[in-house]
Amino acid sequence: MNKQRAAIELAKHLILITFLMLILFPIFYIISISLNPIGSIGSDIIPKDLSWTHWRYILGLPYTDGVTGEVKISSFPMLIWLFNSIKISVITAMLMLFLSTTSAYALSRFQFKGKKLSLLTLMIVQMFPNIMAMVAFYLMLDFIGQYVPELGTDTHGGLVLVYLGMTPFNIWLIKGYFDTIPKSIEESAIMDGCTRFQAFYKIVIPLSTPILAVVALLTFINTFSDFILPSIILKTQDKLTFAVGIQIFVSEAFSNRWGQFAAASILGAFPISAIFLCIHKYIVGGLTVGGSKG
Amino acid sequence: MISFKNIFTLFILSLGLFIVYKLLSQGYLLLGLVTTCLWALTTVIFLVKGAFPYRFMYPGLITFFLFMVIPILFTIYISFTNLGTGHLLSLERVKEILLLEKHTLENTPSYNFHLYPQTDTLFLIHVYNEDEQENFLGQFDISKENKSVNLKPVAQPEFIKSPFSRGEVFTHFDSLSEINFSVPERPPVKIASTNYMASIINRYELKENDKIIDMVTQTLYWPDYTSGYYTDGKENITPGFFVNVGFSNFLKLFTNKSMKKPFAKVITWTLLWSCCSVLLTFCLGIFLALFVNSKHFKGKFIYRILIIIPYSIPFFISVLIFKGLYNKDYGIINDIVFYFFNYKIDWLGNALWAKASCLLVNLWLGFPYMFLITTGILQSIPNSVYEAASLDGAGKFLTFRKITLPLVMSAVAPLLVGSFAFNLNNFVGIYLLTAGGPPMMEASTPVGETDILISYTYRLAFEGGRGQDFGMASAIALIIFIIIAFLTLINFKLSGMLNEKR
Repeated sequence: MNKQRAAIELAKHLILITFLMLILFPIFYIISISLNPIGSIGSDIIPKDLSWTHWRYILGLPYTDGVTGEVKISSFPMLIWLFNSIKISVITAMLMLFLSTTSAYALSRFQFKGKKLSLLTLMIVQMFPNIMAMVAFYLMLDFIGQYVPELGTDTHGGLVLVYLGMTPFNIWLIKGYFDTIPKSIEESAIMDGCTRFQAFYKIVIPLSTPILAVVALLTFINTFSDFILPSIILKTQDKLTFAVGIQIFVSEAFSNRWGQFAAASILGAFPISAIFLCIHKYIVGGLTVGGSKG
Repeated sequence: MISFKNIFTLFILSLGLFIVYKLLSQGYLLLGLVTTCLWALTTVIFLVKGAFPYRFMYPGLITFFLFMVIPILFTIYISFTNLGTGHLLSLERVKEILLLEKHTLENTPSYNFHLYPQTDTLFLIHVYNEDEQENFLGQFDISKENKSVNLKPVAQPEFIKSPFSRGEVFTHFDSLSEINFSVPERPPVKIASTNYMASIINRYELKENDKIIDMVTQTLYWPDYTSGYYTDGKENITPGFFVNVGFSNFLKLFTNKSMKKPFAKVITWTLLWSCCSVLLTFCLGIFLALFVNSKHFKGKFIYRILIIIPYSIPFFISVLIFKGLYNKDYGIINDIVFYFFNYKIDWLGNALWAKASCLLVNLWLGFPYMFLITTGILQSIPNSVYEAASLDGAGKFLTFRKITLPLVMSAVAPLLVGSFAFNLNNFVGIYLLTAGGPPMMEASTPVGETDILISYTYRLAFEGGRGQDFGMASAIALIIFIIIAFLTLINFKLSGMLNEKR
């Protein structure tokens, strides 16, 4: 009986491992390609020799061209794209945190006219992803840009503005967490002479650091991974985000840039993937409230 | 008491006042009024004691309103217009542009000129005609309103100072081009370029009811509010302006011969794609969850992390990787297929295979999500339920069908609807893999076999080639809105959110 159970266990492990190998194959393959000096689309699974040339290419270091043997520097500003993406995502995450925390606090603690209506609107609107209004966003930024050039089309400021509309989901997430913090703590602080606002940022905010971190990281990931809005709004090569830049880079000449693309995609995916794996438990908890990705 | 808060409030309020002033002084009445209202609201909220809760709500709500609610309303508005290439401007702007259009009269004398600055604003103009050796002089003050300047015939003049360069003339060009120069016994001329003068008239003149008349051909044009052009019945003047076209965009989608069929195909594929994506990912996800979460199974934690790796990578990267793997001639997938079947599949070029490829990639991207949520739900089912079932003599399959599945389904149903809504708008999953292609042959708009509604919207609005059609794109976006609204309603019913969360 015990032996049979062990056999079943072993079989299960074997099945699962085979499945995982199949699933994770593209990732191994990409890592292998990024180190393969040939780097064309039909490269072998296991490279015959290894080289850092694709990595040098995407990091803007001098590299040896595979065909001509010249030493060159890439004309594609990959690192700038990556930096743009990180900059936009960090700014969006920070602003988003400010906007949604205060609103969530009001919705969680105060009674006021229009509260029910606000909650209902937020709940309904969070179901609509903002990319559906992409035409409107484009035209609005075009209009704003005539007066405030820093916030028009082809600017990072404009892109961040567009992302800020996505507060409802985060408000919900944070409000849910605030609801679990007992009101009595703040009330006693107010008794002791705290103002409401002090109670908010000296007591409630520190107590909810976990959820705030998750919201910030989630916003960061979603902004970083967004493709459609930056592809509409940004035009200049040096202003592109990583997602748009890499798509243009690779679709111009797919088979020749396969190796460089592999290296670049690892560079872009690794940090995001690492963050995601660290916070995936919270994300799933949060997703049972709304639903952003998936 | 001067505190950080007071200074901040003061700063915001004065900034608002400045913006209002700027807008109103530049003549943007409507925009100025809206901003004034916003500013007044801000003032009330930050200065009235009773409005205290709104101070917390205010920043979030305003951005939400400006960048979510207004864009949605704006999308609805655009969907009822013909806004797009050739119709990007309002009637007012088009009228302004046409009225500024200049026309150089043929068979009239033209001249060259030099401009000599006397003082900062006082200019001497030397007009000459090289063929006939004629010279004229005139003087004017550029800072004053010069409607016309009389030129006097002179003998070949000589100057001490050097004239303005063409670049310097250009810096004053706007005011210079306004001036009428009258030449004795000749038609008056205007400055046409930085060294050239000719008889120039305004091409169009404004008549009653926004009509304009062509001064050269004496034809009367009137704005046609259905086509969005100035027209004389036969010919249209470009650029056109955007007009309200009512339900025409929607009617086109459902009745126009060359749009109806592709649109039906797109909408069918969109729904099919979402359904299949949800079903496939859910089946694989729950299967894996049951597999990994069974009792006494070792290494759960490691397996769990490995399984969610595909989901943790940004979608745009995974999809682009798969695009390479699917490559018909060199891709690794076709290498394997060729090894076994001695045949290469055109993964992204054939309509059916392209759809299958999209679904396969989406399965790869999405199953870890389903795995994660079902794992969470399975763990929340208390063990006593299973014990009771096994005491009653229920087998493994019966337990799954009668206990696990119903419990999981009731918890997961709203998430499945959410996932359906997400895939409905899964632009990256389609566009980065196939770019919508392979193209549909019979269509008059840029549309392909794997296009879903959102990628169709994108291509209509932003993919050049055949021009941008913002109106039609917004109409399709509105149809997605309606589908999502319907799904939201279902979701609220399923999760009972409407009753609980108030």
